[in-house]
Amino acid sequence: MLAASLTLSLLFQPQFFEERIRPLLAARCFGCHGETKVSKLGLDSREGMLAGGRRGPAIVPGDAAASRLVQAIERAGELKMPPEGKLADAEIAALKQWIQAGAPWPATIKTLVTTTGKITAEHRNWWAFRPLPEPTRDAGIDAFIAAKLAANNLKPVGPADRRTLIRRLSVDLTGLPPTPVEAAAFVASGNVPEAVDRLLASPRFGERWGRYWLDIARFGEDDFRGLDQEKYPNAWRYRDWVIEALNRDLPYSTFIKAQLAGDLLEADAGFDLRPALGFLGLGPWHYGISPPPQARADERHDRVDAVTRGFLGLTVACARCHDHKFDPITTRDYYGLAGVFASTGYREFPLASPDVVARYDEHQQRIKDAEKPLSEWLSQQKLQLGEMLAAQSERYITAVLAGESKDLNEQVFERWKKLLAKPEREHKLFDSWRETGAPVKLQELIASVIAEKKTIDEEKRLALERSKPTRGVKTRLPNGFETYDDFCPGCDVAVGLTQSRDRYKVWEDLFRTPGGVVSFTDVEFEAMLSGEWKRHLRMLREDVERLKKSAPPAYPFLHGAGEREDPKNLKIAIKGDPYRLGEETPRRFIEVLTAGTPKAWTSGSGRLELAEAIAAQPLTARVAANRIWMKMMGRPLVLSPSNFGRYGDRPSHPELLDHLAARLVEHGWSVKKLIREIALSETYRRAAESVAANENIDAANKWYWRGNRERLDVEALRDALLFASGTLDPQVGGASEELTPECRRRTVYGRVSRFKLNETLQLFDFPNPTTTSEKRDVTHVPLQRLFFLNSEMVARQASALAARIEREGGSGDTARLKYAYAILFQREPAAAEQKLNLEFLAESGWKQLAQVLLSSNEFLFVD
Amino acid sequence: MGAGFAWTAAMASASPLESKKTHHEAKAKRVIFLFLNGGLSQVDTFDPKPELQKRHGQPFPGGNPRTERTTGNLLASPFQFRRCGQSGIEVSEIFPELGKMIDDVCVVRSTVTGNPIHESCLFMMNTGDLQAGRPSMGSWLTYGLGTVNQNLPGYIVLCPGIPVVGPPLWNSAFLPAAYQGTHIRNDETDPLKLIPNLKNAEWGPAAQRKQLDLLSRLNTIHAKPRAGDAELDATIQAMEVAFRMQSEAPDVFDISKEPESTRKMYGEGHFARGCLLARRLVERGVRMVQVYYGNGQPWDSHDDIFGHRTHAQHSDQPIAALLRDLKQCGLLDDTLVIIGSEFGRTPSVENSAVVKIQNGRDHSPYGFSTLMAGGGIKGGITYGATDDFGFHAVDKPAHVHDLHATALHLLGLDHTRLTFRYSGRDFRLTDVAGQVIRDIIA
Repeated sequence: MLAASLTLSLLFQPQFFEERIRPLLAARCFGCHGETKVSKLGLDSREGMLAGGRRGPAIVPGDAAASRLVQAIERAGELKMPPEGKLADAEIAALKQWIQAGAPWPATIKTLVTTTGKITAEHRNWWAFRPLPEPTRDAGIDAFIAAKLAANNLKPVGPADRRTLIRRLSVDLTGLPPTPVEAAAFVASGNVPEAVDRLLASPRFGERWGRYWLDIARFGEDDFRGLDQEKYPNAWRYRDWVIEALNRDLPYSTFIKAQLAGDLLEADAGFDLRPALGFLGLGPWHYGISPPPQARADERHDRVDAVTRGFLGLTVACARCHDHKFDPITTRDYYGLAGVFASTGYREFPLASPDVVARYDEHQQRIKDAEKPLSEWLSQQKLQLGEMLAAQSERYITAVLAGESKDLNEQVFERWKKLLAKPEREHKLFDSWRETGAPVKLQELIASVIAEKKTIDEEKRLALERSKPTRGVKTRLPNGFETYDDFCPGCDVAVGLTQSRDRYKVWEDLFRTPGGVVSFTDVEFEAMLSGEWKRHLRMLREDVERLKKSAPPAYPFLHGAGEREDPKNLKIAIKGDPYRLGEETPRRFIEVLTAGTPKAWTSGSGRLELAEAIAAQPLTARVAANRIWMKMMGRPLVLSPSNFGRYGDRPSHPELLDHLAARLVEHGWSVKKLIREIALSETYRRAAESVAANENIDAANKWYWRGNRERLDVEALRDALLFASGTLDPQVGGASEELTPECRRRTVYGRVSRFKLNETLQLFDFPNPTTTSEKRDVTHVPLQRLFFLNSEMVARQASALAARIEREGGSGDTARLKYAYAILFQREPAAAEQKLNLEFLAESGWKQLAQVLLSSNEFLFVD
Repeated sequence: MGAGFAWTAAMASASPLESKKTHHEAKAKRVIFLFLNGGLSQVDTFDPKPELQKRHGQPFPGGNPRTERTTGNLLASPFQFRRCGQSGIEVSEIFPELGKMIDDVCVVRSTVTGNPIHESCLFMMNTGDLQAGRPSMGSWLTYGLGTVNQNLPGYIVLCPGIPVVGPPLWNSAFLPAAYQGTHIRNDETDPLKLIPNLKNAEWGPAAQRKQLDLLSRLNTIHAKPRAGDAELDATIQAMEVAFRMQSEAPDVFDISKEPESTRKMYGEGHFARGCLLARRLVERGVRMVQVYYGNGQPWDSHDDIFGHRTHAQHSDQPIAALLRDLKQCGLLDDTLVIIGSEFGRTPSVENSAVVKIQNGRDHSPYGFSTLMAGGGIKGGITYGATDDFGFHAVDKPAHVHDLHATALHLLGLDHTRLTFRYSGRDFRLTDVAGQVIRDIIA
């Protein structure tokens, strides 16, 4: 009795519901009885359960036995739920306990949409969705910050010194440290606006800030399926477009619109917008790594996810299987957007004139046409030769038994010898001739096996031919697989008969390539030819070679997206299962972000309309402003930069965020102007120094009373190594390179593989390029230090830096050390440091010292 | 745990891989996952079906269920089953050595995944989801538990090259990159080549020690006016660990340090080396080691089920040796060993136009065998059952989520509480499902 009442009291605690009941209902019931309300029954609220469906109320609080829900899950009567399989005993017991206890439904997180399916004014009034206020004229960034500091009893620290500030500005805006000359000039002038303008105008700016966007855009240059890596050779053109867009300060609204609909927009002042479509065209594509309906649905899911989190800071992808649990986003919203991507296909845009493309394609076809007779002739001849030799099997076996090859082919003789000596064999049939001791028996067996195989192969060919009309056309396009047969032709076609295993093994022993007794490589075969035969082969080969040599070079193209011929609405997939489809949903924008009922998009895919709708959202500006602030300040105002919904965080400074967003829009969506405004603020310029009194109140520096010290990310780190050693290649843009120790280009130009990420990128917390990433993790693990201790990359830079110091640093170790410090730290060594360094130098030399300095915290962190 | 990485510098004070507290008392401290990639046929290995033998060549009652490719009539197993151990569990003749260890093994005969495609099921088995983009089980474990030996990676994957799908199978996805699996080629015999950057090409430890002494002094001077910055301390600590790793790590991978008798027990070949390395690694505090049987998908016997015999010849002895060895050194008690595959195979013969002969089986994700041993698992039992032909799990189906939940439970983690907030919600290895299978826990 005591135990029972204890249990009951426990049940009233929300954890029981949140841990045991809600997840269970969500996993097993909401799919049909959530927003979809099959049989008019909604199980996603207590009210819904009490109201019940066609059969009446689902529960009787306090009486589990009398509850229809319990009868259904216990499968006692005619109604058996859930249809796909009985719940576990423990799950049934928990539900019964919960109903017995009165079915308490904690009100902590309200069900927002699912009870009514209606978007209300309250939903639309969520802080992040509200219209932006007019930007304030009288108060800037510092006033907003000061207000919160005062409210929290925090006294901000003073400004960073000039050399710290120029290092911070240079790294923040360009991803590179300042040169000694730049640093010295700034220390002398202290002119911040001038420095900021100089850095914003540098092509290095786009390389730095473009990479930030590429994290969000989940930029990758390949996908994988099976053991194959599918490479996108022109992926770098999207990356270069992003960098150039940042450098020319393309309005952010155009920047995002181009990535959804660059093919449908007017080109902007001679700046081609189509490369931006790499956002959609570069995948991830799933090829055949799932059955096609699933794979295509997963791809659409990625697009919905990347677009809504990336541009809007909304987790719309959560509504794939059920209405969003926390935000007013329905499955209709999800499938309304997914339909846009279902109506969008992978497209390549050649960057060459149509006749160049035609000439290239034509020539490639001619090569294929020439290769066909060559390969056909070779395989026919080889087969004929093989069969000819197989018909002499008796002679060969006899010769092997006698131990003399006589006038037989030496190579074939040796192979027979090996085969006959093979001690272990999984099939007895081959050896059956030994019983009679007559090699002719084996020769006969081989002949019959060959004949049988021919008949069967022909039948197979006919079966495949017959099935052709139902098959799609095999395509090389990433999302071209619509049906199973598209990616595994023949896998779905049943054939009547094949050879028995034993007989097939006999055939394999003879004809397996490589390794069969009478099968030959092209080279082996050619060596046997002479006279006209040889001449004929040479001629065929020359034809192919000549064509290959004269082939025009591959033309450049863009990996992008375009309208499909058959734009279509999607049906809601119940519980996200692409095989269980519910009602059709028009392509349209997210309802809660639309005034009134969203209009269905009917002309084309709806990409352009989607792009326009996103660019018109105050939310879009807030999300962008928060990301820009985060990269400048080391901490965002909203801690979940890609989730501005209810489960995300609230802004620490809502008015400031609104101000920044409003300024962004006011300045024609100029990213550079917003960065400039932040960089010129006092808040940005604070020293990264700690004050005990403040630490006690706000250790996390939520209120920005000091600057944030940050570890260089992998791009800035690797670039800084090359920069310090004086070997950084300044080239802007171009094809990606592997980030080997030899590569001297900026890290942003390194190849980004989804299949196997480069080790250095991996080591220093580069984000997974398969999904959109909102922030970089910072970890400190020993493997990173091994990179500084022993990697060839660091060793090379240490050598180069040592050489540079000896070359440029004047004479004498003291002068040189000063030069090294100027390059690496933009300051002079203190007396104690100088002493330590010089002592070490005397013993170990410049190269070892260079390595130590490149490994130091002062080099790795920015104050 | 639960809130993910906060934006506070304080989070960086501890190494992300430092040992962490469990949710409850753990029965297992580490995991070895032997992955027989390609699709291990249950009816030819650990799930004997007399009815299948009897009705060889007859149509599947009720018609052939849908798998990846088209299949025809029932195909009897060409292998004999034998009762093994005191438990009398039947094991195929192609696994004679493993049969001798069966009393330590629980055969889950009712494993279920989602669909019959390799990639999807490889993802499911490794990351708990059919699509790419979720953290691997080893990443979840090192995230949840840290690792014991800071001088070695916490999660190591051994494969001579790569299995199908490859590195995304041991990806940390949205978890911090420190929880990524470290792939090591077990066909490489030079220990120094197994972990990148382990040895300086130019100078030795004495010179390096001097470098580190200077570095440490310079870093201390740098840190002084920046007192209390945990990140600065973290890199200083990490450098000392890295220095020690250089001498300790190569030793682990040097199997020539094992007695000849031990090496003999494991046998020849890269899978045998992988199994032996797995023991050496867990012994030194690595949290999870995964050994792939081979590159690509060797067990994928579409054409000819006799392929299984060849692969069993290369895996039977090493697997049995690993179990025996762990047992002998007392590690089996708290080491969870999982032996499995991404799915099973059909009891019916594949008759699609792409097979050369009709003596093999298609993929089947509907009911197949996974073996678990040690680490709190009840040995010498079977759990769940497939139908008379070995096709569908009919008794106590064990979804991969359930296996994951059980594994985490044994390791002291509640699978519903091991969460990471990302993209607007708390993610788990077991998604929104998973039940701990109490019946197989000792």
